[in-house]
Amino acid sequence: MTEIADEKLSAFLDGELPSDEAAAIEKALETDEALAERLEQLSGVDVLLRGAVDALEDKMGVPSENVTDIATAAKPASVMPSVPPQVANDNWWRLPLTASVALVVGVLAGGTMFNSSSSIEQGAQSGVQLASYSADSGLGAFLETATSGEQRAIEGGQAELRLTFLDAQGQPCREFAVTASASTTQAVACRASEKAWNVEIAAVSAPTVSAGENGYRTASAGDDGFGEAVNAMMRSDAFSAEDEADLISKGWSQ
Amino acid sequence: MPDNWDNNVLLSVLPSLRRFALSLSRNTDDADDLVQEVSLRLVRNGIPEGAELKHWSLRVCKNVWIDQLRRKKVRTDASAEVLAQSPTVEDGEGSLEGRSELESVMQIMSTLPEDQQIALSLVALEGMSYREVSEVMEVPMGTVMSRIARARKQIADRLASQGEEAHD
Repeated sequence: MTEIADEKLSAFLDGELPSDEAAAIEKALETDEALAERLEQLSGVDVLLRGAVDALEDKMGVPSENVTDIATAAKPASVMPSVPPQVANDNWWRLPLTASVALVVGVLAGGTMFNSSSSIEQGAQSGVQLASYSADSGLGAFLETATSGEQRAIEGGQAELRLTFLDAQGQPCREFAVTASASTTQAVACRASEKAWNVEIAAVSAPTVSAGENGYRTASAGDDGFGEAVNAMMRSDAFSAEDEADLISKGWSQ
Repeated sequence: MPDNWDNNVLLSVLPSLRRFALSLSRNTDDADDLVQEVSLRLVRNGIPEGAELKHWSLRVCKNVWIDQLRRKKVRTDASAEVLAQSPTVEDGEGSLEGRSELESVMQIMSTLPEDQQIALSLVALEGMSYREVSEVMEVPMGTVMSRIARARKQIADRLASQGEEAHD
């Protein structure tokens, strides 16, 4: 067989040989079966490698929220797509959008809490946490039953229901605010199937923002960041009072 | 966070980063960690003026990976050794006999020097030219060429010998 070293063949595979050397190899390949076989073996490595990574990628599925959180949370004021999400932007990295907005808080506060969105502790004094609230009690009951515009005193402050919409997964979500003595926490909670409301995003907009041990801070320089985040979550327009009342009366089953 | 940071930057390279991380770590958890760390660094430090986005991101990924390897050097050395010495070791996903070629190629890849793995990944997965790889890896093109060739040769030879064993 023609003595053509693997290094040359490898570079040939990658189209990195000078044209005269490449031509020489092409010519040799016409007659040298062993050389052709070796070339096949070497190129097979790349094929297998791609296949293996494809397989791992499938196994990995949707990237962990943490990764996309960092990516999308980089700059809250402009991070959220301003186009309505229904415009076929079903890119995989946008799927965990809700959690990513929550992470806006973490990133800006020093980037130490990427492990899970629940690591963001409670907002100032309002007691609103990125957590699940049973529809039977306190905030959960408020979210379950209040109509837009309604205000109600709940544990932790004065709650105000702002609007209701569907998120990208088609879950009903509600924007609300809880005002405690020194701050207002704006948040969005979405209804989980099991009669509970999960607070997906929360931002303290307050004259006195507590950036204490838990690093909690307002999600943006202005309030616009939160508004944009909500817009980005909204797949539907806000519900009309009528549709909202209908959903409430049906116990949120659509 | 740099003033000129563009959020779409990271989103646009995430797919490449993820594949590269998977090829280096061969493990979805580690790849996740790696991409996360890289994303964090990119967000914090930004992309230098004039740097090509993907190249820079992959370079950061390579550096972070090498850092991580050094931190847990003992563990990786040990596991690489086990794999190298006993190709029939159970890895929880079946013995060598039942292992597909895809798994074999990753297993062999794991025994190669990191520099070779990185070079081959960039070419095979990202379709980079040697010049691009040399930018990412900060080594001369000739070095890139020999690293890739050695990596391919090792993997091809060992796959071939595994194939022969299987037929014995």
